[in-house]
Amino acid sequence: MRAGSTSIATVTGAVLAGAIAVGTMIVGPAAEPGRPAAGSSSAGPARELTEAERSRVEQAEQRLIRRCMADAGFRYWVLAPLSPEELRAFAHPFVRNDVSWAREHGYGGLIQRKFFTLKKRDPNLAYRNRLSRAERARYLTALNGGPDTPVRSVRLPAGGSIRSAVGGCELEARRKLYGDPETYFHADKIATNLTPLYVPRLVRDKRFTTALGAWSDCMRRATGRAYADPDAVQTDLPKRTEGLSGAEAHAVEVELAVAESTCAQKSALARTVERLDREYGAPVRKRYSEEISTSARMRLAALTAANRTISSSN
Amino acid sequence: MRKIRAALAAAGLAVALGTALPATAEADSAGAQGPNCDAQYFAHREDGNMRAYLLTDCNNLLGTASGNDANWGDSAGPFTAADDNFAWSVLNTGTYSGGVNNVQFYEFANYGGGTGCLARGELYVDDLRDNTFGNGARASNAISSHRWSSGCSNRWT
Repeated sequence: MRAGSTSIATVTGAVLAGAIAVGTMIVGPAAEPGRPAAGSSSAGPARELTEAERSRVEQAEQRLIRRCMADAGFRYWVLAPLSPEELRAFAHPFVRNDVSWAREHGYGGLIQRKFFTLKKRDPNLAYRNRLSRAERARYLTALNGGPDTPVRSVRLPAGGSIRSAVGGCELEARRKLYGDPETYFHADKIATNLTPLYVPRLVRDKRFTTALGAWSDCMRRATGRAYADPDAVQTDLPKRTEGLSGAEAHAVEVELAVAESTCAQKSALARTVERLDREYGAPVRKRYSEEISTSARMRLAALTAANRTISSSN
Repeated sequence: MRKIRAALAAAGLAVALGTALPATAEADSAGAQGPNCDAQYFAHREDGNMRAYLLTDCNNLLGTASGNDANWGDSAGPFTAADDNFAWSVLNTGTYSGGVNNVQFYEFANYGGGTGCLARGELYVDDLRDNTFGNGARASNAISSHRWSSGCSNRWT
């Protein structure tokens, strides 16, 4: 552990609260793609989108932005989306449990390096930077609104308020897909920020600490090192790969990621966290079932609209 | 506990906001507290970077990064020793980038300890003293690493 005086539960709780704050990413990847949205039973058959479906909606959004920007006299490039497989390198679940992904990608270090190289070559960036000051101001206003764009604000159940100012073509694209971006923003932000309300209790549950202990024992046997929780592996990784060649570093990454994922299955840590999340999260999700079902329903509607958009533009 | 803070550049905007907001969202009731962050946000929007500042309200730039920095305390990457544990405000002006556009900040180097997030489109955090990491630790004078992420855990406000 980094902080000797801090209990495992405290540190892990923080990591876990973070990791599952995005909804389905308790263990990576989303364990049940297309599962019914929690708490949605009373509001119809809304389900969560799969990663591939989310990607399709985002692509449709990007194409709508391109069309809208063209109408405003600007160029906009729609980049090839990251595949669900690649996206996993940028999601940081509490624990990884997909051994075959880990065997191929480790923690996704190579995918990340490739991404940041390509990011610098984004034609939209070069275009933006080439514009004159006045043109750039017009471009940005067309893309996502000017300084007078209304700031939307939603108070989170666990405290604090998130604010967002999105206008222009980005807002227009969302309106075409989701119908009412304001309603979606409100429902989605609440639905995806519920974990701080119950994870602090979850990590004190004996079933969790037992599974975590079993995972840690498994890791010691597999790697010869003491890792109190999956976060500790991440922290240790740079030390293990320091001074190694790219291929050697990738091999170390793979070894640790495979151990983490294998142990998550063997120790039942992944399964236990999922089960406890359902148990502790149920009353919270019931309390916010309206926001959960509204956002799930609107995502499904966006998928339908995206499919229509994509087929009509082909 | 974190409190609501203003995102608006000008009080005039706050007034306009009151009428523009739908019933489902709430209006920011506090006065404008991040006028310089607002100016920085609009000056750098869509430049693909995150920025961190020594002082509140995006004053005294510590560094600018389009990629990750696993250790603000070493000499490598956009943030170096003088930046470690010194940030009081942060800004995200990232591009869409295939969905990897939220910035996840961490209490320790190598993405360790508590974490907090600033999503694309969610402006800036003009005073980190109003926020905590997911583990409850204070977020001001405490960031030691950051990485771009597809998700957004423990949103800072």
